[in-house]
Amino acid sequence: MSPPKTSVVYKKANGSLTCDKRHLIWSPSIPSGATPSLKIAVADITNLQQTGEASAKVALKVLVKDDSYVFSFTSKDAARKEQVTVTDTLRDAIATIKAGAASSLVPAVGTPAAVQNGGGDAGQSASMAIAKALSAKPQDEGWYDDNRLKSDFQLQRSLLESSKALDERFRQALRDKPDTVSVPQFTAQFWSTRLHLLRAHAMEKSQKEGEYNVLPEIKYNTIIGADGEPIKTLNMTKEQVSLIFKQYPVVRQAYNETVPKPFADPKIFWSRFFASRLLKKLKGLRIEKNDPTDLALDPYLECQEASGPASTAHIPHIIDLEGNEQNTKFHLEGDYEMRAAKHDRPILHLLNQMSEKLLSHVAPEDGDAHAPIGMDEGTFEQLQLRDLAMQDTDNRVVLNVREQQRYTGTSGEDELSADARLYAKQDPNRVISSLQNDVQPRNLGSDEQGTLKLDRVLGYDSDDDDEDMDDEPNGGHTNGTSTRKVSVRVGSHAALTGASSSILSSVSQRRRNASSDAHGLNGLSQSVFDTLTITHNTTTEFLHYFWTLFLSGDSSRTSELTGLVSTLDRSLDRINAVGEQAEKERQDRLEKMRIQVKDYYPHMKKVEQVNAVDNGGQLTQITLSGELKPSYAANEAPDTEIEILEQTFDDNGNLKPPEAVLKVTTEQAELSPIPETPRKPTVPPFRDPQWEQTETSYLKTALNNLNSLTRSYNLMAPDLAKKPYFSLERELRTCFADVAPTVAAKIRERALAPKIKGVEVIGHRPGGVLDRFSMDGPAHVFDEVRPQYGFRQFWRDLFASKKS
Amino acid sequence: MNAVDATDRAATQEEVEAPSLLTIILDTNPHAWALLADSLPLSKAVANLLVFINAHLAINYANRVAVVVSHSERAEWLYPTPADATLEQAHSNGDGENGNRAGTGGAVQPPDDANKYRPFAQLEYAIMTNLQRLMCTTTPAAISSAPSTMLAGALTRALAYISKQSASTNPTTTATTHFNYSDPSSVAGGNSLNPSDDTTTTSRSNQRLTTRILIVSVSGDLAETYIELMNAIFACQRLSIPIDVLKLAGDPTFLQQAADTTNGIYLSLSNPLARAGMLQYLMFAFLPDAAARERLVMPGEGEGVDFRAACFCHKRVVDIGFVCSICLSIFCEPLADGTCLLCGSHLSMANYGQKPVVVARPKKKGKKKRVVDGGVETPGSGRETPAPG
Repeated sequence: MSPPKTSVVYKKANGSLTCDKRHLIWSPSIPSGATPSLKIAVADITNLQQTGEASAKVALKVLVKDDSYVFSFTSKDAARKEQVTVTDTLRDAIATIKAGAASSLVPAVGTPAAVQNGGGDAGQSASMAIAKALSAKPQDEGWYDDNRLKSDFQLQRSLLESSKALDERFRQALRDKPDTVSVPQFTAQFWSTRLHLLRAHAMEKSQKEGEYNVLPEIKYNTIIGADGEPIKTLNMTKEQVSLIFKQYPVVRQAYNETVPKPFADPKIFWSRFFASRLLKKLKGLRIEKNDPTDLALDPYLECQEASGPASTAHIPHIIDLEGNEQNTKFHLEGDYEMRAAKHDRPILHLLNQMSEKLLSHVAPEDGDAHAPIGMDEGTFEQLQLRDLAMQDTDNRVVLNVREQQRYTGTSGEDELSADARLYAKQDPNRVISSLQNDVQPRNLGSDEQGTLKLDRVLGYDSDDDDEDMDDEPNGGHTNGTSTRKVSVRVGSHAALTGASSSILSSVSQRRRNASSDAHGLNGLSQSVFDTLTITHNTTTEFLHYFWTLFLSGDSSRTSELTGLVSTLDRSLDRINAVGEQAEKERQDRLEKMRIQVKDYYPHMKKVEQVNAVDNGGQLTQITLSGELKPSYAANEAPDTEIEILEQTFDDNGNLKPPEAVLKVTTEQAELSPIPETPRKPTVPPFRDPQWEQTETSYLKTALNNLNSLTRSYNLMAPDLAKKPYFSLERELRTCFADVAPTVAAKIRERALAPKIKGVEVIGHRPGGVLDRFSMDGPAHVFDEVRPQYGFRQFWRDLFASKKS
Repeated sequence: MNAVDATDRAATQEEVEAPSLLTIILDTNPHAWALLADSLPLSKAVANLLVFINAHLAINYANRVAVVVSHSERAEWLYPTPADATLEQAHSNGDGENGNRAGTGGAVQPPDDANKYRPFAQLEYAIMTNLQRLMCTTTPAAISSAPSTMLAGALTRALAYISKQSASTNPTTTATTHFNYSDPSSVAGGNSLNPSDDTTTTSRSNQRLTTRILIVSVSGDLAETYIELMNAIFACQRLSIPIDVLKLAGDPTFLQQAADTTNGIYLSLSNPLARAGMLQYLMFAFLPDAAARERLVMPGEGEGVDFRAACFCHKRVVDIGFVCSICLSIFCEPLADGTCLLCGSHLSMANYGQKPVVVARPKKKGKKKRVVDGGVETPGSGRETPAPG
């Protein structure tokens, strides 16, 4: 796009006005080809004024700070049009510059004098060079321009869409933001702390897919034509064509040389190409004898470039011999089989070459941004191989803090730490002498020969330790240095016990910390946890905002600041609300658990039921229920109550309502003497003599068997391991004792069980059909001479009335 | 087949526990010990340490120990006895190099006593005499000029000793550390990798000397040597040498970080009762070596590590500071000339840290407006990043 050039009059001198993106340049026309004498940086333009649409005179007034420049457009027929073009261009340029706000990033643009009246040639060219350099830079490093990132709403939106957490955070913060902060202000603030995210996202978006191998992708489509003949069609996109040219230079060469001349139409070229031997070669297919030959394309088969990647040729393979294969040329012309071109290349070679070619095309694409500094990949690899035994000289840069004395030397007395101040109070001479005394061998328990008796120094002597604890600490064998004011002697039992308990507690705390799941919800429900995270995020967001604003020292933003303060206030409320919510949830859960416990524990309440048969033969159940807790203090109200119900069974085995409820508290039970009641005769033990009789013989045999086994075991076993023999009577007694507690319950269960009115057989009534299958009645004998007895007869027999 | 006819004897070799080198750095800042004299005098602490060292040596016959003293103005060896000290005492018995071993003891000849295990006696005697010598050679002028302790120097000495010991223990494996062709990471990092870092990976299966450092510290004020200290700590982290810290007094800032970064144990005995139980702390917490620690839950204050740093300019411990975006050096206040003290980069501050303005200035609105328009952009983080140069 060439910048618009118009003829104008400025200060009564004819000239032309040129406008590029950054400068408005007026050059006088009198010496033709004169260098521009007036140059206005677009960034400096504060206002533009133009004459009215209807007026005959067409002029543009450019206001730069305090100066103004009036350009009258002189072109006869198109003055107005030219003016409009210039104005529009200027307006666009101003808009882009304002949007980019490049002034802050590139101070060089703002500072040079905007107007250089009649400047010399050298100055002009220098400034032009600077301008060019500057204008070229932002295009390359668009990723790094903060302002561009900040103002790129599309980018921000797409980032928000891609990251859900960020989106949530943004929305939440936007919702909670104070009213005094406008949305643009807020978003600018929000993104200013997240420029790195934006940059990463921009880079991510600017990534594009690499090349792929085109030729195999292009395939024939077979369509049945109108005349019933299959027609092969080939669809190629423009990109595919350019890729073919890029990957296979030989095709480009062929195309260049053949298209205008032998083949008039590119279509013909492509159709011939896709049928040619060249294609087969490029695809790595074997060329058959009967493949059609093509006079125009076959010469390219011999082309050297047809084999081997085009752009990797220049990489020297000095060391890597394996990688040299593709560069190997066979020079033994004599033998046909030895010629490289005739050699049947394995398909793998071709594939490798292809991918190498693809990758070699990719490498320079991102080479600008990420290339290893100072060397290309090949050199790097060679270096790396030479770097054999890590004997490279150390080329680290040693960093030293310079001029440190300037800072540390000035530190005054007030900067001394608490320790240092304590130290300063001590007399160095005394300190030294006392320490010298302290480290004398006798203090370390040295005896006459100089052997250290460490046990004595430590005083780890369990016998007199108790005395130490009770009495004055005796410094007898510790030479009086151990303790004077502090009553704890070094190495005393109390100290050691305290030490081990503190270590154990820290160990258990560590284990608790280690076992708790880092990703857990810390006992919160998911919803509360989410609210908590969001609240935390937004609060942090506002705190960030507040601090940057507070420390910016910008007086014009105080209203924003006050708004933020109120928002932070509300953030506190929000935090408290989350806390309350969590607390409420906890209480709810506690309540639920309490109810569960209540539901569960009645079953656990101690219920004792005693069944007894009274004189009249009535079965009586006595229920003892209640919790038996020890009462801690005698004067406390008795919290233990035992209810005693006496109930009798009626004839149907149902319990009658209790006649009397006797409540006994434990205290009463202890204090008052048990009333003497005439003791009812005990129920004889429930035994079943018949069962005993029948089972005795079996039990005896089993016991004898067991005893003989035990005997043979005892013969071999040492005394310690010998086992006692069994006796039937004792075993039976333990058996009865085991069962005894359940007997009462069993009796009750039987007594309470519903009475069965006899066994009822369902589904069979006398005289029914099934009766006839029985063998009770007289059997029919059939004479087989008559019509044979078949299924029909059987059926009739079954269902006919008895008469027949 | 080897397994079948029982000729496979490799397994028996691995059952031997790896020897462990315990390097103790004893802070003998005289001022601090004088303050502690009431609850725990230095002699008591040393006696406790000796018991602990003996326990360490008794666990495994191949275990070794080294004791460095971080004194107020210098760092010195207590055990093994340094070579110049042996000459001084005219006790040189010709095995200066072998004197590093725990078994053969220092060069100082202990008294013969049939009732004491000889290595213990030698070690105790060496430490005692060296400590005495150290105290005798300390001048009051030296301790009054240096209020703190030479912990960084002591750590560096300990690290040098450790690397020398591990190199002499695994002479076969060091040969393989030159270059590992099959390891892809070794070519990428190139020569920046520490050779002994490779040793840690390749020779783990072998009999590798496990090492650890125990710092018994009594003084704070380590900010003076912050950079050196942190470098030593990071070296330990790199070599996976845990630094255990037993803090008897003083503020804990950097040593807690040291224990945290190197996976060591940090214990602080702040009250006299805890100090009286020092032996128990030593035996209970610090005795297990690296192999045992893998299977134990280690004690120590797990939470609340003080991660503050000291600034490079005034050596103040700072909560919030200014960081050079190029070399990450820390400063407590914005630099006057905007040049990083370490790397010389030109740094510029955005309008951060200005004097806060909470109430709008009343007049002058019309004039100020234009300036404000330019400055309405929020202070971007990127603008604080200068071009290197």
